[in-house]
Amino acid sequence: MNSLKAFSGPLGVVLLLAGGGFTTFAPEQRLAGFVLMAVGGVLAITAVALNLEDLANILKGRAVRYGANAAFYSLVVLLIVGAVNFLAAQHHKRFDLTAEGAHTLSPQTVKILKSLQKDVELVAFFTETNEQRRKLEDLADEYKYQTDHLKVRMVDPIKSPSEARKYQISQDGTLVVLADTGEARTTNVSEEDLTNAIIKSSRKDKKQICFTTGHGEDATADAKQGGYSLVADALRKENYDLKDVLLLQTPAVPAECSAVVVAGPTTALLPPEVDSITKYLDAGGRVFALKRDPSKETGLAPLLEKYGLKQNSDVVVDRLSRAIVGDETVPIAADYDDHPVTKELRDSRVVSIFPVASSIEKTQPTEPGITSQIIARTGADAWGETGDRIEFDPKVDHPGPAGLVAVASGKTAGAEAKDPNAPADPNAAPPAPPGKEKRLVVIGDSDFASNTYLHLSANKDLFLNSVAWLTEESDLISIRSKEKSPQPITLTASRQNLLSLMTYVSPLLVVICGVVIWQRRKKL
Amino acid sequence: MRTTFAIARRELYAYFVSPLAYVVIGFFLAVTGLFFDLFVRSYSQYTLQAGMNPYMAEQLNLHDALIRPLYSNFHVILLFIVPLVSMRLLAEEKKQGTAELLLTAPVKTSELVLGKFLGALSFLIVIMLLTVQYPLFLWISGSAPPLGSFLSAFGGACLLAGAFLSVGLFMSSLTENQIVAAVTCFVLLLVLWVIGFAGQMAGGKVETLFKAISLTENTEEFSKGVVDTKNVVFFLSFIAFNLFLTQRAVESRRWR
Repeated sequence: MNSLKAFSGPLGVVLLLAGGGFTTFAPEQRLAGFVLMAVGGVLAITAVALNLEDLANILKGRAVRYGANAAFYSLVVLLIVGAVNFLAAQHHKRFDLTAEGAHTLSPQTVKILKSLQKDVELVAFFTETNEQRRKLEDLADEYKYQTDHLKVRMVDPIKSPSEARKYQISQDGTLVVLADTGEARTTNVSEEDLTNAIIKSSRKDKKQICFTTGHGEDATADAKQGGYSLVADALRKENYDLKDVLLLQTPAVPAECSAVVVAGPTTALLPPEVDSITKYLDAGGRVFALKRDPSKETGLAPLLEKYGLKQNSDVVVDRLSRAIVGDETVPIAADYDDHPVTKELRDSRVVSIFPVASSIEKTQPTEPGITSQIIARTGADAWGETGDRIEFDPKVDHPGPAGLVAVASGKTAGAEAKDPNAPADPNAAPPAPPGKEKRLVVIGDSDFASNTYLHLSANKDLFLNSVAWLTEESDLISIRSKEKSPQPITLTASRQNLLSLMTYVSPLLVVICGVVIWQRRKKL
Repeated sequence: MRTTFAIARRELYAYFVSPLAYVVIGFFLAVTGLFFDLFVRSYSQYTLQAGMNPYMAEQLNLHDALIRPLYSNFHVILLFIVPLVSMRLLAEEKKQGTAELLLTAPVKTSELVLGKFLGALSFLIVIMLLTVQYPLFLWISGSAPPLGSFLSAFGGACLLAGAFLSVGLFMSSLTENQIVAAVTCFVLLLVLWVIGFAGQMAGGKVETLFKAISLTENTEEFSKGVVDTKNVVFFLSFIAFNLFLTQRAVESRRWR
């Protein structure tokens, strides 16, 4: 009886805790947990009943009164601490102290995340040993900080094969983004790929970008130095469909083209082609015209004239470039206008670089209701050189600052005349619904977006922002994430020695110090 | 406040006249040095290999490959040395009978507790400052030292050391046996260390709660190079709560 009196209490508590642990951490053993808790409970009650007299004596003591007091205060303080932490977790701020902003998301990602209206789920299939797992967790922390609409779930495909089968996962490290509009997946853990997967999953329709062919334009399938394959990949990642269009074979620009890109033709487009592009634009189309070289005409001059722009046959010479990129004929645009395409480039002070470009001038549009604007230009030191000698001649050369990127926009006719109560006429010609926005982007160079130069400074953002503005994908107009630059360390022999010195000598020095001080104190 | 600093100064001095301090510092430097040496050598090898593989070159990041794992190990080492540093703080006074003297001296209990805490914390910070040689080495090696991320990791380590120490101090106030104080402190710290993993197995609300009070989870952001206000609040309130408990425990000697 005495041993029951002494041990039932502690044993009961241990059993209660063990039972609680089982039910919490091993749900499949829940029944065993409940049995343990029940036995523990009975033991604890028995202990109280058996020790009732002793307990009563203790409770009357001074220590208990003070102890209860202390326990109560501790509990109150604990509750306050809990509340403070709860509030701090709800309203927290993060500061990225890494030099390269490794944990700062790009403006585009932030924009996309902030624009999420509905929940998007990210299911990440990673085995425990996958090296990319931590990278994803870090990335997910930053994404979740920006939005409450992203739910992240880590799934180990080995531990949950049924889930892996449900999503047909065949590769460790697959990310599946699920939105109510669709799903997208990637196997590459990077901000660019994850953000693009979110863009893809949350957009129902794909917009089609049509590239004209037949005049030696930069080809989207060309993976060589001067090709356009990288920019084509970037467009596809942002959920566009690309299509090549041979205008000579089609009576008009296909209706499904959200935008037409004339990417640096080597020979001028023929009048019928220019005609169909003009018709397409006039009917509320979107055109992106890039000139290849100063000597190569695009044939689009009449169209540009109509929209208040003129492309000169000169070479932009920029003295500043000599110091920066080593060549005067590679102008740098650092002066941007407050236009959707360039606003964020201006805000983040990034330049775009154009290897051999012609200047663009603003003229009076011949079409009514058109506004044209130069949105990126060189500094005042640059000019448009028309001769062979690089020397500014005020008589023939075009003075700086030289325009490099221009836009024009307007509405199709009849916007004001539209009467919402008028009965719809099924026989009316559909191509030009009134009030439809027409947009044009003109750049004096096509090489800046070629595989060789796309990753220079803000070139990629400038191209993708232009397309996004043309297709009215305002969420996509931003600055995209960049890969981190590598930070190599090479250990020379002397550095290896220094390293060994640090590793083995410094602790030894400390121990010697200790022995010396100890000896001296012993003598005292 | 003057009394507090006087106590803190006396505590710090007491460490440096005892051989324990030098053993602890030597052990700490040897282990962190060994890790740093290993990391730098493998990083340098990786650099050579990455020259031929652009995908590998992308992974070459000083902070992720060197500073962060270095500090992860650093935290584990703290787990072992803090109980050694904190065990004697209040237990010794009790054992030697100087506690009565202290309690009757014109010193407030809160001043006593805070002084002891600050003294021991400055000792730990002195130890940790010796590790500044590692980023300096990186700097000499020609790579720009990731100063911001180093500062963040270092600040995180200081806060973690403070949190560990506050637990140690509390344990030391409950017993007069230094070994008991060290062991209970170590066990408690270990529980707070792994509680996040336990939460992961439980899932749901338990996971959120356990992760919120896990010391590992709360230091992770600092090691990454990100300072989040919620982690700072967690550590400061954790320390404050433990110091409050310690103060209560010392007070209790007056009526026990």
